[in-house]
Amino acid sequence: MLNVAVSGRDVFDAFKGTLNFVFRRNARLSAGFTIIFCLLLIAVLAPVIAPYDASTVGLHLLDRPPSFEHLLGTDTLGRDVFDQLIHGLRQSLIIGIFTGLAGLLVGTTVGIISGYKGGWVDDLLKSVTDVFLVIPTIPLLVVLSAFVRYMTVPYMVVILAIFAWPFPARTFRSLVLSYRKREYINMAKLSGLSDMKIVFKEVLPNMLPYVSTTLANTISAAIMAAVFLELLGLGPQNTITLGTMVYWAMERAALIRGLLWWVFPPMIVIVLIFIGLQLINIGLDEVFNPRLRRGVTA
Amino acid sequence: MSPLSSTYMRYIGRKLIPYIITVFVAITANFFIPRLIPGDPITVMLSRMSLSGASTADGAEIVEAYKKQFGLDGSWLTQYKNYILNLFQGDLGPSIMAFPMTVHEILMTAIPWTIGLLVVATVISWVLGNLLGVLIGWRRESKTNSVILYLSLCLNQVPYYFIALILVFFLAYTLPIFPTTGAYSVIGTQYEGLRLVVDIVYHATLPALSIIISFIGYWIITMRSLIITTLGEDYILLAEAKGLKRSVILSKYAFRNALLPQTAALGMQLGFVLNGSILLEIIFNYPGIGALLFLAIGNVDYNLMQGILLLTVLSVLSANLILEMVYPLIDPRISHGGD
Repeated sequence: MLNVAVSGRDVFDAFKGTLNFVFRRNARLSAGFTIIFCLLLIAVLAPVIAPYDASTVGLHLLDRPPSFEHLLGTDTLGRDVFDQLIHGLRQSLIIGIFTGLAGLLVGTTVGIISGYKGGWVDDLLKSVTDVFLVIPTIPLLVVLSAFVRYMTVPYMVVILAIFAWPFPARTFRSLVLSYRKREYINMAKLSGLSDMKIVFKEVLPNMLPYVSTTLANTISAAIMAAVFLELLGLGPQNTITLGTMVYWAMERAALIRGLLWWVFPPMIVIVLIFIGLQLINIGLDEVFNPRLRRGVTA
Repeated sequence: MSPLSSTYMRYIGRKLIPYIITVFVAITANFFIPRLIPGDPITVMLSRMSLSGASTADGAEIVEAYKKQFGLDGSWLTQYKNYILNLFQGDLGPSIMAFPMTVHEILMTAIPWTIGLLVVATVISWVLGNLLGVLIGWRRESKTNSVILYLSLCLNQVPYYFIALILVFFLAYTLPIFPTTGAYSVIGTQYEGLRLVVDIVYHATLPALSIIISFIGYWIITMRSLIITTLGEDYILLAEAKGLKRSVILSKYAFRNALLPQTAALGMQLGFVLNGSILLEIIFNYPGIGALLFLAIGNVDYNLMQGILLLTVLSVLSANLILEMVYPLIDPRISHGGD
């Protein structure tokens, strides 16, 4: 039986319709989106919310507990913790989102080419992906970051992106493999559409739901890895991120001196990012995979 | 499938080739990546020596002598050739920062700590997490169980090093119950026998707890969803129709089937043990592999870095390989055609 040709536009409309439906129905997805949206809003509005210089040392009294003047107190270097938190959030999200997008872009491209082309191209790309998937990335990340003498946010994105693409690549390869045999792809081929057109008009729109979950995953993994490096003291040196905040707090023994307002806020915000992304992920899974819904919500 | 059948042999053969390629790529990467780090080990060592007051007279000559000693003379290509040749003889070379110890000797002092701490902690969290997972997957309607589920969903998102920091704050600073650094008491008395064991367990409690707490959420979630999926299968319906007791169905049908993927996941997790321990060992000042890698990077000790990276690669790859070899033997549904 031949399927009625579905254009990308139709799929997109259906996707939008589902989203509308879902937001009213799936509590986890809405909660996740709300958390991430608020954090993004704060990050975008950072210069408005915290217009003061967050990274300059010695502007304020040292080690002040939270007050009306300094909502989250000040640190041992005389910086306002709230200002740092807002700007740190911005930088951490920038690292996460750009790494996530880079990983997704490279991963999807590799995965689609690999799955769609097959043959030796697939063999080659699949072996490279497999090597990256099994190599322990954390020690390599540490060594690579030590190689960059003066770490900045863009460098960090590049280093993290090296390890961010293999998972999307594997996911999309197997997805494309399952689509390749479908009737409508055959129809498109028979009607003489070019490979590029088939990929962009027929294959890609079908994978939109997976694109969104994969993006949430890669962003989460990227922020996790970034925080890890930052806690080792290998983070960006010219800007404040959430991870470097925790690093400096630990470096100055903030915990043992009871400067809790310095250590815990960045940790809480980091965990909030992870929880938000995770909720989005579970929610999307439930929406696009109704079999799961019965299982998870009960 | 029997382990000696020819289909199984062919399956293993096909699986083995990518592993061999990966090991080779990893070995090569291990050689070149440390050499990208700015600064060379001999200069670092000499500057440290002169700082500590030793007279380093003929600079150039000494540098040459040291380079020869550590196999760092000649071009990268000759060094690479020697490195590969030595590796095949099981020789990881001398450590540069802790000369005259060899990399092999240093690794041997660190491995037991890392493995002892992380393997035990990982297994404990696996056992507890799976038991809880079965429990809340079985009685889905209960309020407490959904609280446990949401707690584990949140816990699963808290990195282990944050849990470590929180534990240190509460159980070492606020209530000084546990020590924060080291793997055993150094100052004062040297314990022996049973007291030494107690001392080591005492020191390992906080780091182990942080691993247990941070991974238990994952096992609870996965076990729960496995149990729920299995309970929806047709053969469970049949078992119910036969009039089997719910406890029998749970233990003999659902739990057993869910245990297989969970054991495989544990295997993978154990392969990554050496990988994820860096921050934990640094926070707790634990004398394991992770802390050692950080030291090696700080001292630009190429040989030691190569050794540690090799160790982590091999442990992950062998965990993978063992799983792929064992899986078709236990689970006949794994097809050995295609991928």
